[in-house]
Amino acid sequence: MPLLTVKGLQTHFFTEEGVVRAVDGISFEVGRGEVLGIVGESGSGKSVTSLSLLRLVADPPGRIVAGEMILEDEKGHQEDLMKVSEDRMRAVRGDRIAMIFQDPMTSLNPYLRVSEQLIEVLEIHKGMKRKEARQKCVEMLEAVGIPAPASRIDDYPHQLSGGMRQRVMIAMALLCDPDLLIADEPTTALDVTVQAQILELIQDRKEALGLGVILITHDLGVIAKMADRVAVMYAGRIVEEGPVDTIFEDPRHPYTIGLRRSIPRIDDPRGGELVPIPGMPPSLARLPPGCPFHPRYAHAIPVCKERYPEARTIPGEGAPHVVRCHVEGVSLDADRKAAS
Amino acid sequence: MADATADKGSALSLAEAEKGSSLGRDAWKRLRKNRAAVASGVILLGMILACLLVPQLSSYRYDQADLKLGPQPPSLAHWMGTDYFGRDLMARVFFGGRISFAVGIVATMVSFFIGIAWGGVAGYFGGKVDAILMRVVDVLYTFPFLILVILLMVFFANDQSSFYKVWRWGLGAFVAHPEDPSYFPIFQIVIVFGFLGCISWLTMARIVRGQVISLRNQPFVEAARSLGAGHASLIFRHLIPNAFGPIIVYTTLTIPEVMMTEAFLSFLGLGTQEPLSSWGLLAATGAETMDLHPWQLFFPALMLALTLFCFNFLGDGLRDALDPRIRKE
Amino acid sequence: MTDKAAPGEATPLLSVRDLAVHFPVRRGLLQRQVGSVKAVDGVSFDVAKGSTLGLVGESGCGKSTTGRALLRLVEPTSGSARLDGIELFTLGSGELRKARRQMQMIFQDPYASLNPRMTILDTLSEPLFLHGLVKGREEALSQVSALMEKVGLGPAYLRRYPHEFSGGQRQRIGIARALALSPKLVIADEPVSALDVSIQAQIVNLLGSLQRDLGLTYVFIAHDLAVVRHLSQEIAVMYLGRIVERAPTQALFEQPQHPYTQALLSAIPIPDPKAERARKRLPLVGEVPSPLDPPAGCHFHTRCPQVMDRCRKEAPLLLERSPGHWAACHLEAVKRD
Repeated sequence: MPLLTVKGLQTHFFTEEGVVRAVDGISFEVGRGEVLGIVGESGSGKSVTSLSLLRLVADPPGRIVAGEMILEDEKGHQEDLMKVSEDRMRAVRGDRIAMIFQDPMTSLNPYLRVSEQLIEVLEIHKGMKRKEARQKCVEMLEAVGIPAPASRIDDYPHQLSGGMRQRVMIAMALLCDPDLLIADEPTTALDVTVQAQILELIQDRKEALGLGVILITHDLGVIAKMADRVAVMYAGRIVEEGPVDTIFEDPRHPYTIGLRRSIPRIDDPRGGELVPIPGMPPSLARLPPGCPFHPRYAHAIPVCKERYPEARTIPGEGAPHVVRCHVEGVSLDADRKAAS
Repeated sequence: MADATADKGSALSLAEAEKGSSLGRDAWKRLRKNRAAVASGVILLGMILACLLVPQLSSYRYDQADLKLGPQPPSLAHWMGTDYFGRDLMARVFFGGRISFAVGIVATMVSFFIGIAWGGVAGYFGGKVDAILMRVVDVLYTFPFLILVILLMVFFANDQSSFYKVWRWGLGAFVAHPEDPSYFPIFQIVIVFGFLGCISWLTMARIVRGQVISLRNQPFVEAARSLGAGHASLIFRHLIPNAFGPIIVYTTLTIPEVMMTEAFLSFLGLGTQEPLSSWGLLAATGAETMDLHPWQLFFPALMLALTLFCFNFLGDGLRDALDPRIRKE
Repeated sequence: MTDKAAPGEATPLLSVRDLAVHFPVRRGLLQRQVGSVKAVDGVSFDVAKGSTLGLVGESGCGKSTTGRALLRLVEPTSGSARLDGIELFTLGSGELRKARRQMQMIFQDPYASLNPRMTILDTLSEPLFLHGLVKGREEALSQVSALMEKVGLGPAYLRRYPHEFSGGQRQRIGIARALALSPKLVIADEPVSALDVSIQAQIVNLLGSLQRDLGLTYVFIAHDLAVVRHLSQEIAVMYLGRIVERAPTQALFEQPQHPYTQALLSAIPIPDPKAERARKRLPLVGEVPSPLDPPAGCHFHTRCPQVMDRCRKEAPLLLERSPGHWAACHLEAVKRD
């Protein structure tokens, strides 16, 4: 059984303007030692997904209205995080599932020293005494590549650079040896050269500790580098899912294909043309009927306006390649031919 | 050819040539939902109307004495009773309301204009200009204004003074006719409290300055500058309008503050003088005979308290209505 | 560090020489100046008419400050910039105002670069009125409508306020505003960084087509090399206030001469898992030093995998390695592996 199995997760926000269906029925799995990349732009629901997994959605106005989130431990014991008590959830957060966020400046308390914030985690979850906890924290800081950790642990967040703060965040997440790490846009706010370092750190720690990782980002390059499997999200749903090589080489959903063709690459042949996806992502409060992507797809067929597409498995090797699209024969080559 | 894949109207509303929804309109919609604020607004409007109409419609004048009658508790003839001189209290209360409101609004308007200009210029230019302008504010802050008021009262004691003649046709005209013997005391008040407005602009200046400082490095200001906009245009077209939220809120909270100050001064005998009335003066005289004739204190105090509550709720409501949208999205 | 345009080339539209922007650092009660942040530390480049120079680098490299200094939104400390023969840095305020018609900026943050209290019509007609290009509301309306069409937005939106638009649309409005005065030079400061990926391509394409249709010259400032590549004929890489390499686009990507450029290129993830796996990583230690206290000699020496003794003491000059390809590095021929 995989480490985490999510089925039919739905998180809605009940606002004055109506019901915002931020996450509207997604299902996925993450195995141990595996990186699942969730790709989406703003308004796709990817961040709400990560908050839902830890039941951190603000209620009101948000609420997880449906779904299962089954977490399995090494002994095979399963629990549905949707159903457990808030006390149990608090024990899970930080200890079994850890999360790192995009902006390390606002995720760390600027008024507390790094040492206090790290030690607190161990005190709460492991009941460690201060001295022992501090020792462990220094070791963790070293493991994430912070130079002179024994002295830097007493710094305040503002005394550290962006990259170092993110390393501290990672250290904090890994302190209790969690089974699952959720990284929500962990490198978006960092410089490119620092991003490379942080991504490598995550990869390194994942291998050393056998973590499962959910990596959420809009950057396809990061996904290509880090993910084993990819789930592409659009308007609150997963529209395509599969092994990373397959998703990049043979995408079958018009949105995935559109993304591939519109993103500039540094190894592009000279003068390659960017093909943008027409239109804009829909407002989650006023989704179009049927498949939410249909207004932006030139070759939509009538059923696209009526029904949300079922999941369709594309034959192939390795992990299943699943796409949700009514239109047959959509592929990268077909798209290129149609455009020329 | 311009990029034809641009969106020409799908995600936004359908009525295309419709006027957009400004931030002001959104704020108004939000304010309407705040029942306390709406109720307060209605009550205030009602009170102002009453102050304007009741003294006109009443069969009693505010200074019409009936010494034989003397102080009477509320009755059918006199809904709020009468005071020591037999004057109808209701007429006096609502007439006094005119003065209290006029003072509150006038003083606040003065502070509004002076404060915005002062703070806007200081915040925009920064550096030495800011330092000088703000030091003036700091110094004025420490002034004991009470003493100044007393000095002014003395200064205007003589109604033949040239100052009085100059202000003859000023704001007091709406409260009483120039030939009316009570005309002079009105000027006294208006000038004194115009002066008070000149004191309360200090905080407005600080608020505006703070807002302008936080806004002046915003990209849209830089963009205007790169287009060639000059200082005046930047301050009054770009910066100040975006600072309106706190300005409006502070203004609605200043009005009751000034009214209270006037009440306080009248209470001390330094503000409104007989035979005029204001809520403060009425409360002062009423307090003297509180145990014998409680209604003389009760009604003016009720008016004051009600006004204060309403302005405060309105101010709170405005702050909530204006705040969220001023941030991004 | 002066260079002249090679004989036979047309005079460039924009010529920048030794531009420096230093911000004083003040401490103490009397606000004494104790040092300065050399945000831009001697930058020179030319931009040919109708072409695009990409200015790239990470945070703290000074690329945004360079752009702002050209428009005199921050005052340059020294150096010169000639736009179409006019020396920009010595202009008085009246002449500067006129010169502003020739150069405009597109800002990064679509949410903060439009005045939230003004309708789009007001925002776009402001420059027209400021420079006396239109006489009345009618004329302004028609010109503004034409601008909106150029950037792909219907004129029906004119009476709306910025918060009613999406990020991509707001950026189009920002572009329209930059075009209002028909400038020759447009400085685009990270115009697509704040936009969604699927919208970035639209805006990049729009910028490209506008350049072709209107003969614009761009200085394209960005941290994303992949985006810059699509629009630029020439790219300059900046690090801590200095240009470390400048070359035609293809040459920069195929044969980067500076170790920083090489590290930068190798750090950018490619959206292609097989290519990613096949790549060799050029490890870069540490982080960008603070501009308050840059390393002596070559600013990059603290992180350079090929650092030599000389690098710690002597700042290398920007020298032409091959025609049009400039690099500031003591290493003789830096090969890419």
